[in-house]
Amino acid sequence: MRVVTARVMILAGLVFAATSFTLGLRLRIPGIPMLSSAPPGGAGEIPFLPAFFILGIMLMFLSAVVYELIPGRRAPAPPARPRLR
Amino acid sequence: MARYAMVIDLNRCTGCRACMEACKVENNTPRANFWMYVFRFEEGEYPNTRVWFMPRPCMHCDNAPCVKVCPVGARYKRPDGLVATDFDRCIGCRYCEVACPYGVNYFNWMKPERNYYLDWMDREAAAVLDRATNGAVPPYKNPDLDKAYGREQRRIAGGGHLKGVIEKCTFCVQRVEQGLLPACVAGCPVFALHFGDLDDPNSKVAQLLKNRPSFRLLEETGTAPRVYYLSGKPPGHDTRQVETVRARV
Amino acid sequence: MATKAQRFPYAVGQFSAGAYLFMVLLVALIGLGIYAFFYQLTQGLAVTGLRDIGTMGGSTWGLYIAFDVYFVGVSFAGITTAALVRLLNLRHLRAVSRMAELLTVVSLILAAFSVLPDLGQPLRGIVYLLKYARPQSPFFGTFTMVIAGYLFASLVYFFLDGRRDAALCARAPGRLQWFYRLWAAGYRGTAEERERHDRASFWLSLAILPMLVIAHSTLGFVFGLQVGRPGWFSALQAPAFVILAGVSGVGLLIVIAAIMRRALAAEDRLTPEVFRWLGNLLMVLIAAYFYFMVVDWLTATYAAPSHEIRISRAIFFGRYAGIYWISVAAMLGAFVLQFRQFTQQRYRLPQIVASGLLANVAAVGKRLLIVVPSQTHGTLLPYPPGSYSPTWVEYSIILGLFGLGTLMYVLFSKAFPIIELPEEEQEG
Repeated sequence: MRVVTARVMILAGLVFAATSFTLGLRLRIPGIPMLSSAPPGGAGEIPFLPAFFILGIMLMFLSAVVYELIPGRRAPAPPARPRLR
Repeated sequence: MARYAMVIDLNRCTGCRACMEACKVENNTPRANFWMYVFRFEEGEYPNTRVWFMPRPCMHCDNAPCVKVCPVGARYKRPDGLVATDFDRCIGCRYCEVACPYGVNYFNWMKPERNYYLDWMDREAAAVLDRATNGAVPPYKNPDLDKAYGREQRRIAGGGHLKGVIEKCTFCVQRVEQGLLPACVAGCPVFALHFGDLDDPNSKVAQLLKNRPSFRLLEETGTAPRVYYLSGKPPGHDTRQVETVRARV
Repeated sequence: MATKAQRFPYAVGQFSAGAYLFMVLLVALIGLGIYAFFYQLTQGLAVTGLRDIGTMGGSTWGLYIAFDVYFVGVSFAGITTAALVRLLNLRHLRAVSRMAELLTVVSLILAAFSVLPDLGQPLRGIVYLLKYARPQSPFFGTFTMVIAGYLFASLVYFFLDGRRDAALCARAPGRLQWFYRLWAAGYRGTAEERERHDRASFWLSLAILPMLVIAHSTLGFVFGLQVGRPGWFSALQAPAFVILAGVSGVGLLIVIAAIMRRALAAEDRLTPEVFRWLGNLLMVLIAAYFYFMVVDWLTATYAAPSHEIRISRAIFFGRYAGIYWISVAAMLGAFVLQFRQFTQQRYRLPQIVASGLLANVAAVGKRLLIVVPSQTHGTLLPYPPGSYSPTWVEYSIILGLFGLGTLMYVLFSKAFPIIELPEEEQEG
């Protein structure tokens, strides 16, 4: 269960990040001399794309937490009792 | 859509700096900010020296490094070729300044003061002006400098709006949008500066460039500037600047 | 069952008079930095020594950016150690892995706080970077990758790696028991859990490695892609940034580990073996960095464009010669110290620590030399050479940042074991 959740999170994060990055580039269709060929000024800007990009990457790394924290289907073995000296 | 460019005839420039003054008055730039700057160059050793002047506005490059690096899209290129700075968006990182090969960017290091000669915020200066002209010349704030321009409707005109943002020559967008020439071009007493639409075969700039050899500064950097120079050569290794600016804000 | 109060290991929860005094000093330093920052916020950046490039003859990026690059560089330490431990199975380095990870987290926070005072409009900066940042700008890579990738990933790694020790600490009653329980998040120490953790942290370290390369490389690209700045425009910037990051990170880690060893009497965990390993790693990284320096230098002197020669002259013989030669000497000194120990196969802790310190001195100098001369002496149009002298505002903010980092480090090590509790604690 947790493996599936973790994998879904990684995939979702990747999609999020890749989409927001690509949308952020705002590339125009070929034939333009300028490299960063976006519509001039603020036309067509989607706000908070960088935030989504960051969230996407964070989601990918959070999958590790999910993977470790969510208990497996089997009940865990009787716990050892670690003690501080 | 127009394709604006500026043509500067180095043969005609006398170094009077009227363009620098006109720019300052028109755009309300603060102390030590020289959107339009005129170099005084010297080459050779006395008595065989050659002195010449080179006006240097912003180049409004087609492949502008400043536009490429702006993290938030405050610096952008308009369809008519002007490279503009949205002072509502600028976060003051000064990346455009370090990226510019020409050194045309000026940062508002402090609350803009000692702006152009009719500084409306300076009560003392206003009082002096009032006395001197007997009230005939009031301090004047050009409302065009606060308006939004272009289809994108962003505020890009004028300087000295607030501290912590960067500014540079705008080809006087507030004047160009009204069909006027930039202040430096209009103010030059010897018609050394020309401005117009490259796509219009009848414009002065198009004809000048067609008939006379020209060069652009630092073309090897690939910036594709929109400012052309006639009758001269670019500054070389042995070109020295004399009469440097002393003010540092 | 012990009759006297249980004490946490590694001086957790124990504050001596010296520790209190030290923390007061740090708070004072931080206070100075905050005061300087607000002074700058109200008066504008004119209170710094920064000025416009060109007609003003100044340097528009200075101490803040140089230290931002330095702090991001230092963060190299954490993931390197984690990677070495997890991916190459170098178990004897486990004792320093938490220190290293904490160094990464703290230094990345400091890096972010170092850029903020450099912005003319810091509040706008925070909001607009999140709202409008453009991927075409190298700043985008630094900003997003460093925060989202590097910082967050390191925090995740840190959290997961500390659960075991948190569970151990949670057993004993204390003021922070709630904190330990929260961190442990139900960790029970079963074999299955440990196996899962090993697997997760393996993949995590593997995934953080490209983050590291991207974060440091985009920082290098911030400088290396600027055609208008001779001295910066070079394909070598990105890789050189990565290597210098390694040098400063490992060097600082050595210094911190040595301090912890002394302060916590942890000679049994922080063995000479650990320092030997780190020292040799430092030596190899310095050698790699020297390679970059030599390649750069040879290219510059053999056939550099005149604009780059102007900068080189200022750095080798002119205004910046002092910083340059001191940095080279420090780097060389660090290398020689390590190399001698390596060839003689006799390692002494004080010498290794000295290498670490010298390497960091050199790194700071080098960062400054990357940032400033290309602005004052690197104009493509014939502006006259400029100058840059930082003011008390800049120094105060930087010192405040160091104070903040140190305080965060000290407070954490008082709240949580800074060295992984040994394996034997698991049994009985």
